[in-house]
Amino acid sequence: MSGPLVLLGPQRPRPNAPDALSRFSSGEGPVVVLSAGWRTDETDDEPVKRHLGKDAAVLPLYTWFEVVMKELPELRTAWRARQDELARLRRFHRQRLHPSLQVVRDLLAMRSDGDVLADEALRHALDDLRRIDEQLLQSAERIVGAHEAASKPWTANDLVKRLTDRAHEVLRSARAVAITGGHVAVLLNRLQFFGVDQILRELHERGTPILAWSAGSMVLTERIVLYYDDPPDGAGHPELLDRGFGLTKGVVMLPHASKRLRLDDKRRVGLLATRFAPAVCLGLENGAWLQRDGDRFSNRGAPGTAVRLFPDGSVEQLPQEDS
Amino acid sequence: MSAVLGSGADRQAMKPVVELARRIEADPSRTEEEIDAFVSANTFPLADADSAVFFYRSKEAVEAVYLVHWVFGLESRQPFLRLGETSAWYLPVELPGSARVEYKLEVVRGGRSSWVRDPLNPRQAFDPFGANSVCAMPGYHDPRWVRPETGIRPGRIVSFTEHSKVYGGSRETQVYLPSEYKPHKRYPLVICHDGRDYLRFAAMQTVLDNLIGRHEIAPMLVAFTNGHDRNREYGADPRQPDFVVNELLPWVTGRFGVSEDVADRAIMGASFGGVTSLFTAWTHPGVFGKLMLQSGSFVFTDIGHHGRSPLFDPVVTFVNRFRADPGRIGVRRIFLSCGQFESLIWFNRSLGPLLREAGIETRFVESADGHNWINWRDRLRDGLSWLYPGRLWMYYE
Repeated sequence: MSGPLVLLGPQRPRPNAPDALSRFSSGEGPVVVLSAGWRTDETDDEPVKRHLGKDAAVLPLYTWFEVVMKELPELRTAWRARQDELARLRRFHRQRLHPSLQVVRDLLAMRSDGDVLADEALRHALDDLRRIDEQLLQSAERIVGAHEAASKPWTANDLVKRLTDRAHEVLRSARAVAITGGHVAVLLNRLQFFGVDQILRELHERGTPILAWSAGSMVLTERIVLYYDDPPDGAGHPELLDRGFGLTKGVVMLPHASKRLRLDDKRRVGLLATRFAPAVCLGLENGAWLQRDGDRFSNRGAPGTAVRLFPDGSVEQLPQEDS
Repeated sequence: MSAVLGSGADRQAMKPVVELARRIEADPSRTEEEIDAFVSANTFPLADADSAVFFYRSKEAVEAVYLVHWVFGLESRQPFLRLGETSAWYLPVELPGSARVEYKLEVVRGGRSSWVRDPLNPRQAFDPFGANSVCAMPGYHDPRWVRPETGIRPGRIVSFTEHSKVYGGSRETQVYLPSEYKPHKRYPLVICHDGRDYLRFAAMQTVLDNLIGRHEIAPMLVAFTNGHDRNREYGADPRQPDFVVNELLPWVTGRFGVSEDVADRAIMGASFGGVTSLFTAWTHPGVFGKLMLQSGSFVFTDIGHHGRSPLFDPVVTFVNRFRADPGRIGVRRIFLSCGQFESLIWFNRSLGPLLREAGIETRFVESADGHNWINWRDRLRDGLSWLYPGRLWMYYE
């Protein structure tokens, strides 16, 4: 029986992680905190202890990664080569993505009831868009696989192996695991670098509670979507970052949705929801608390803090409790 | 009476006034009641997509009313029209749909005129000289990031006073520290001229809190400095760059965690504050990597006299020299902004291509606004995110 998975919204101004975590106070071992998304603030104990209790212990993956990069120049070179190639891939991806999104927008604007031909053109354009998204993920996987030294660094480096083993040991001793928000790409990369994604799956299967908020909740899904509808520069097209760990399936997590998305713009909302369907797009605000216990999925957060985005552009509050 | 409405009566924004005129014409005995009802039922100035109608009503005898504004290109003192023989006056003005205009009314009574804020318009803007009424067209919106937002951790302002050898007296500096500030870390630094006014009239502390909190700009320190005789000190006066580079900068870097990378040091200002920012980069190349120049008074001459006050003499001399060798400043990136209603728009427009040709990454933003603090406030997001972009796509806290 897999363990409880708690997905929370942003923790400011009123954190609910302490309340959520208090439900899992039984058992032995520490609450292991993965806060690599905080980057250089990762080991800042004060907010961790304040939010998650005195027995919370940070697993300092961001710090360890910095040490590894400093100590192992060959690995550093290999890592940079991998990341440079991924960055090039993203640039090419955007070249294809932006016109494709525009085509879909144009066809949506031209649509009218009963226009079979226009509907067909829109379906095909959406297929093209989804194919471009999927090709990004496939190409990224290929690049990651081709850079084995950087992608599975524990196989060839004693230092990384020692740190990886240590990370796994600490995690296996955890009563619960908490994954914080922060820089989502850094969080994802650091967890993968030390093979933590595999251990999280193992812990989840073993029944260990896993609690995550904002960026932390994003990395637990199957696909991580980056979004900001009104950036100071550029058109604000949502884009895929990468595959997540897939511990929770069929959802796209959108923390800070009300600040980062134009939820009153039906076309933008509709396109976002349609593009990533059949996955359900969920907006999470401060106070949101979604929980999966086995096959049971419930909304335990404050009313209005979790919303669902629909392909027709509407936005609805998630019903409280079971859903 | 409708016939007296004259030009502009066919505008959408004039429709309520035309209706009022018709009602008064139909029953002159109800003139004052109709005007009372009209004033209660509308917000002023009336506006449609491309015009505004200013309205004034006085129960005391008034000989004339004028719209006084600072829109370069329009007659700066425009007479209102009287609605028949009533106590109501109006003035339709064509304006861009996203325009924002600060104005006052000049009211002439008993042969004496006085400037007043529009009594029918509660919207005001403040500056060091007081307050003006504001006409905001339908396409203008206060940016959401100029007011405190929930969930945003506020930074703080730390003040210190030091003796300036350059100016021979004490100078106060206020430094903005972002909420996440830690002394052992190193942050980009922006030196901001007219600092008190940026904080007071452009809500800069709130703007910084919001933009940093949203990760739209990088966490940064901002040192706010103030002139004592600002028009002279900021007008291409060599003492000010000397003060900034050799006194203010060491004061700040000695107290706070500031990055040593030149690209992480910027200097900014508005109007003459823009002039002295550019002048500092010119006299001390390699100290600042980025500039933010808002409505800079970059007046230059190709031939003859500049035709402005003597305060501009050193400014014009400097700008003429700068234009002959813009690459000398050694700056990587510049943000320029200017209002289309300013007389300075042409000087600023011509600066953009000059800077780009000199190999400087330049972003120039115009707005349908004037030479005022709200215009400078509203461009802070564009400017600061151009100088120090945040990692907004990646952060989900």
